[in-house]
Amino acid sequence: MKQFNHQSDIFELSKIRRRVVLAGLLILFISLFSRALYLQQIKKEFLQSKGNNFSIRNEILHSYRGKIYDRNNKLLAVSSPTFDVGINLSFKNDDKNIRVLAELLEIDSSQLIKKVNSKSKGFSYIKRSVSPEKAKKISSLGLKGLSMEKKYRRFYPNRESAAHIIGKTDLDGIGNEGLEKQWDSFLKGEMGHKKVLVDGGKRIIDDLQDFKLPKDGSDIHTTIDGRLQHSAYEALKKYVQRYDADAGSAIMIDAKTGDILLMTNYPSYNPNSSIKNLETMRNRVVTDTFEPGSTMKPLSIAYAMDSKKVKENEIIQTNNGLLKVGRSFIRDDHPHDEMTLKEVVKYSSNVGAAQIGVRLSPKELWGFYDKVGFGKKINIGIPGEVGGRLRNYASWRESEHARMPFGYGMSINLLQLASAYSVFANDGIHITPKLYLNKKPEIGDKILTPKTSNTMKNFMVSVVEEDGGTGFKARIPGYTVAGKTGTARKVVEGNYVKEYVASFVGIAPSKNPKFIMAVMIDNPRVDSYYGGTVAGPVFKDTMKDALKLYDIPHDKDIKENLLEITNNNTDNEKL
Amino acid sequence: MMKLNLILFLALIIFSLLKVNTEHLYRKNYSALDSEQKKEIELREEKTKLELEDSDQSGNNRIEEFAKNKLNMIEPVKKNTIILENK
Repeated sequence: MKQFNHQSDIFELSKIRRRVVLAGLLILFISLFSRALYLQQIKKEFLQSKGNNFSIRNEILHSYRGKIYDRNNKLLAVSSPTFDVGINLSFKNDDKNIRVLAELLEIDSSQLIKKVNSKSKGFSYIKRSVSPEKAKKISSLGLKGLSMEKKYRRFYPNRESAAHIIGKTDLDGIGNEGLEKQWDSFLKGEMGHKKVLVDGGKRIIDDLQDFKLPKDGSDIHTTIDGRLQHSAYEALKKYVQRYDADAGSAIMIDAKTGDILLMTNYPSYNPNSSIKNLETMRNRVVTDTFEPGSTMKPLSIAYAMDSKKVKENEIIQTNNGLLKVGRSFIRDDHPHDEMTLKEVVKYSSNVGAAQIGVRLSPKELWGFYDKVGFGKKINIGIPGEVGGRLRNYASWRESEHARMPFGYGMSINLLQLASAYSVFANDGIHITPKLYLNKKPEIGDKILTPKTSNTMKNFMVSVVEEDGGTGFKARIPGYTVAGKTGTARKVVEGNYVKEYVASFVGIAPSKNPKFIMAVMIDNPRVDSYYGGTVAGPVFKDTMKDALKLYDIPHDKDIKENLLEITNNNTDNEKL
Repeated sequence: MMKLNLILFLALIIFSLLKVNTEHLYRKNYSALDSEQKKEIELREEKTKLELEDSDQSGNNRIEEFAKNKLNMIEPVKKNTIILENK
C-alpha cells in the first residue's frame, strides 16, 4: 500500500494537467467577462429599454378644457370623456365576439367581420366618440388587438340656439368658431405627463421624478341667458319661415349694464354634429352689415334736437312725401304735407328726417354717429366682428348728407344698432355691450341730454303704442314699449335691388328700461317686407318672455281679462 | 471584537429588512394614491357628465318638445288669459 507523507501528495496533479485546468478556467472567465462587457456596455441601451418597457410607463395627464357657462350658471359647452375604438388587424378574433362588438357599437356586424378578417394589416378605427359605459362593456369582451383611446369630446346642450356665440371645436379639440376659437388658449389648458414605475400587475408603484403637472383650462362665464337665447331662436325661426326670408338675427342687451343677454341667428347649425352648410356658421349679428334705414331716424333727430336745430313742437314741412335732393327724390310711404316731430318718428317719414338731418352739418352728423359707435368695431370679444362703413364726412355728397339721417349710405351691424339705442334707455348715456360676466360695465359718454333722450323715447312709444304707428305688432300687454321699425333696400354689388332688410329696435319697459332688443330679417319674400310686420313680432315674442322671466313689473294698466283680487284665500276660491 | 461584529451584522440584517419593508409600504401606498387619483378623475368626469345630462334634460328644447308633443300644451290666446291684480 502506497504511503502518503503529506496532504499535497493526494491532490498533486501533473504539471500539464494543471495548466489545462488553469487555461480552461481562464477561458471561462474571459468569456463571462466579455459577455458581461457586451451586455453592459455595447447592448446597454437596448437591454435597458427592453427592461424599462416592462417596468416604466409614460402616463399622459389630460388637462380639462374649460367650461362655458351662461349667466345662470347653466352649461353652454363642456368636455366629457369618450373613447375612439380601433383594432389592430394583424390579430385574429372570434366572429362571435366581433358580432357582439358590432352590436354594442350599433354598426353593421357583417361589414365589421369583413373588415377584421381582411388581408390588410395595421390599425383601423372602428368608431369614434363611444360613451364610457359602452367602452367598459367592449373592454370586457377581451378582443385581441383592440385599442380604446380616451378623448374629450365637446358637448353643447343649447344646440342651434347658442351655436354662433359659443362656436365649436374640431375633432382634435381645437376651437375653430365663436368663443371656442376666441379663447382657445385660455380654455384648453396644458397637458401634463409623468414617468412611472409599474409592478408585475401593471399597478403604478412609484414615479421617477420626471413629470409635468397638467394645467386645466379656465372656465368662461358669459352674460348670455340660455332661456332667452332659446326663446329668440324659436321666434326667429318662426318668422323667417313665415315670411320666407333668407335669414334673421336678434340681440338683446341689458339696458343698464350692457350685458348681452342673447345673440342668435337663423338659420343655425348644431355644433354637436358635423356641419353640412358652412353658410349657416356666420354670426350675422356681428359679421353682417346692412343699411339701417329708418331705425337711424330717432338717433339723427334726437341729435338735431340736442343741437337745437329743431324744436320738440316744431312743424316740419314734408311736401306731400316728396323731396328732391340733387338729381334724385326722397319719398315717404305715408305722405303728409306737414308733420310734428313726433309724427315724423311715428309714421317714419324719410322726407321729415332728411329735412331735419340736413340742418346738421356733415361733420356734426358724422361726429354723432362716431360717438354712438358706428363705423368701428365694438370689440366684444367674438371672432368675425366688423365695424361697418361710415365714410368720412369730407367725402359725403349732397344726396348722402340728406339720406344719412334715415339710415342710407352707411352700414352697421345689429350689435352696433342695439348699442346705439342705449342712449334712449339711459338718459342719453351710451353703454358699451359686454359678453363676459366678470367684466365691469363700461359707462360711456353722455351723448344726449336726459330731456332729449326721454322725449325721443316717448316719440318711440307712439310708434308702438299709438294707432297708426308702424310698430304696433310689437305691443306687449301690460308694458309700454318704445321702438322703431326699419325697412331698407338691400345693396347688392353696389346697387340697390328689390330686396329688403326688415328691422326693429325696441326698449322695454319704456318707463324704466330693462332691455334693449334689435331684430333684423334679411330678404322677406312673402306677404310683407316691412320691419314692423316682419321683425316686430320676433321682438314681441322674445321680449314678452324676457319680461316674464325677469319678473319685471307691469308699467301699463291692463284693461282686458283683468281680475282684481283682495287676498290670496279668496283668489283661490274664485279660481 | 467578535461580539461587536455580530451586533453590527444583526443591525445590518434588521435595517435591511426595515428598508425592504418601508420600500414595500411606500410602493403600496403610492399605488393606493394613484388609484385614488384615478377615482377622483372618474368622479370628476361623472360629475361633468351628470351636469351635462342635467343641462340636456332640463333644456328648453326638451321642455318645449314635451309640452307641445306629449302634453299637447298650447300658448294661451288673449281671450284665455286672466291677469290678476292685487288691490
